[in-house]
Amino acid sequence: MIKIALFFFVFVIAIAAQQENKRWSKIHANYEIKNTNQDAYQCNGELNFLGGAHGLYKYLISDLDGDNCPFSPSCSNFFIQAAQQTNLIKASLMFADRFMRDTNFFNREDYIKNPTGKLIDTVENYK
Amino acid sequence: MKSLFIFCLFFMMEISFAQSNLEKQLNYANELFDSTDYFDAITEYKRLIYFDVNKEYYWEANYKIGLSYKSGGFYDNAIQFLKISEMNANTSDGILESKLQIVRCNILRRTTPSALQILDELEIEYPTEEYQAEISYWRGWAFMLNDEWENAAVEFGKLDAGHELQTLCTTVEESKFSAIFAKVISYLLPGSGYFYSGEYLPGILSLSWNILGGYFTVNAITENRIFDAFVIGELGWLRFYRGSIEGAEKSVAKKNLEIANSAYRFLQNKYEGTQP
Amino acid sequence: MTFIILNEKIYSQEESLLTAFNRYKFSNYLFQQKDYYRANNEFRQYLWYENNDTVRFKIAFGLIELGELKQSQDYLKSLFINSKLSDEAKLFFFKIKYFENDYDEFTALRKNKIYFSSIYETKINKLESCFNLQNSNMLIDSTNLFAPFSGGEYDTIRSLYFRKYYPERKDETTAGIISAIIPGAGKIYTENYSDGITSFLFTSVLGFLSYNNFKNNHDVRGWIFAALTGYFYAGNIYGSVASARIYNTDIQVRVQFDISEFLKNKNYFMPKIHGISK
Repeated sequence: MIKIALFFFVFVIAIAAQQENKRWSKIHANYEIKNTNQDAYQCNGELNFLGGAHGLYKYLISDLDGDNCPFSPSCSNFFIQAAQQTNLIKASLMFADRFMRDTNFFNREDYIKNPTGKLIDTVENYK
Repeated sequence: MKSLFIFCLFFMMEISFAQSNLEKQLNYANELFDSTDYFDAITEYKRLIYFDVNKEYYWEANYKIGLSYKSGGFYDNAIQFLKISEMNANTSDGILESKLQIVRCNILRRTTPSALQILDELEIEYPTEEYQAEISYWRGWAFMLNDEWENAAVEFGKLDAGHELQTLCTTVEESKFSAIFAKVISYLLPGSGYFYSGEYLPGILSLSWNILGGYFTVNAITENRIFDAFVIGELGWLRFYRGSIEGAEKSVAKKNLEIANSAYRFLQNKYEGTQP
Repeated sequence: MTFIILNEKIYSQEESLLTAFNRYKFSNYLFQQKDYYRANNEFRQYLWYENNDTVRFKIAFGLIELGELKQSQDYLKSLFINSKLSDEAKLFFFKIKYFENDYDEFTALRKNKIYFSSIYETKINKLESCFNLQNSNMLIDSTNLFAPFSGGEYDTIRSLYFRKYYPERKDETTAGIISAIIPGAGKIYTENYSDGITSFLFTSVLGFLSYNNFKNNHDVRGWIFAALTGYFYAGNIYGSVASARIYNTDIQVRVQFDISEFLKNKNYFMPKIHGISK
């Protein structure tokens, strides 16, 4: 009975076996745990007024008031990326819309979740 | 009679020569394995398995394939072949070796519950002291890589009172910050959780925001501006109050992760004992 | 005599696992195990001994599975002439062109009947129709598109065609205008009901706060809330227009996905080849 169960287990694993696409060599196992608690769509820290203001906002307010934004990128990151990719006026309007969607506590089934559970809502959709 | 004799001789030669080919194949595969050419070693072991119709080398070939995949980081494949080797083991030592390697693969891919379950089964099946020591050792490693340092220290303590890894685990456990304590003191005094984890400036800022939010909220209430009090309280004060608790927890988690990773780096680079 | 037999045995048994036939058997074993990389290495070694069309085809198949499309094409081309698998190779060649997303070359080869298989003409036509439907943004002639299909496949392709070229789109201008009249209405028009209601409530509350503060002679706060009301009102209009655009894009994305799924379920119209493909 155990052998049948083991055989079935092996069969299932065989279906899901890792595919080898090329020659490989020995690797050194890495025990370190990665910190996954980061915004996947962090904007690059540009040395300009906007980047500086964003950094200051993050340090003084955003990092202290908790993880309130259900989206990725966060609202502040969204604004910075929108400003970088379009212009300040359009970015402001996009931010206003994003902020209102952020306060929607009814239904969020239209968004795809990333591995950390955040709803993916990128600037590209609204440019 | 003579022809029968020649026939028997011929037949026995067939068997003996066929066996020597498999042995040659095994030796060749072992050479590749010993020279860490794991990819080609797997090919040659698979060739051996295919032609070994009597399954004489099944255990060893599948076992070595499992070890080769483990060396390459293909833990799922490694476990698959180690399971086959376990099924084809002729001795209880062979079964034990296969199972222990499966445990080590589970430890490396951080599927700790599977590793612990197998170790629990082994504990019952192999109750002698010699095996129990090895089981405790790997259970300790399973706990260590699952960030459960206290449990790991207990397991290593069973091997030897002053075991190197027990000392390491105890040191890590004592260095770590308590997330529960950080949360509780943050409930009582916003920002204190940050102080506890050594982040002083965020602690001061958090406390400041809470004081400011609290002042404006109370001020609005005393002036009978209830709606304003509600808005300021919710969007100002409570937001930063919840934030201080959450932030303290995150700050502690971040510090504990650094402590754990420091221990993992020691194990990777400096520890000379047997590793998964 | 016995000595001769013994001697012959000693030499013939050396390297017997690596004879051509044994390599072939072992390669097939690896192929069945889906260990395509190793199988291909062994097949290539076997080809040194013997030229075998089935082996070449299996190498090509394995390379497709490994994502090595360029290399796979080379092996398939070697089977186009004087091979019993010539037609299958040509059909798989067209499949590779689909995977490479090289629509222009696909249609050029198809039109000029280069590397064309008359036996699998219908299958190639079906693949081309689906490829055409995925790639073309301009309205295409449905007669030619539907022609290779029948039965359930015909119904599916027809449905995908109409979803792609006659979708139930939402007008961006209409969404913007409706939201300008009633905040959030544009989002309700694009079927984002909860976002629409939220926009309406958000803008309304801010507007009320502004009005209330003015009424109670708190002019500064009144103007602050008025400015916020105006800001979020403008944001709501922008968001409604964006919402309509997203709705229309989503329709196209879903159709493309459904075409891909249809092809996948049909295994890209590839036939089952004994011992090779599923």
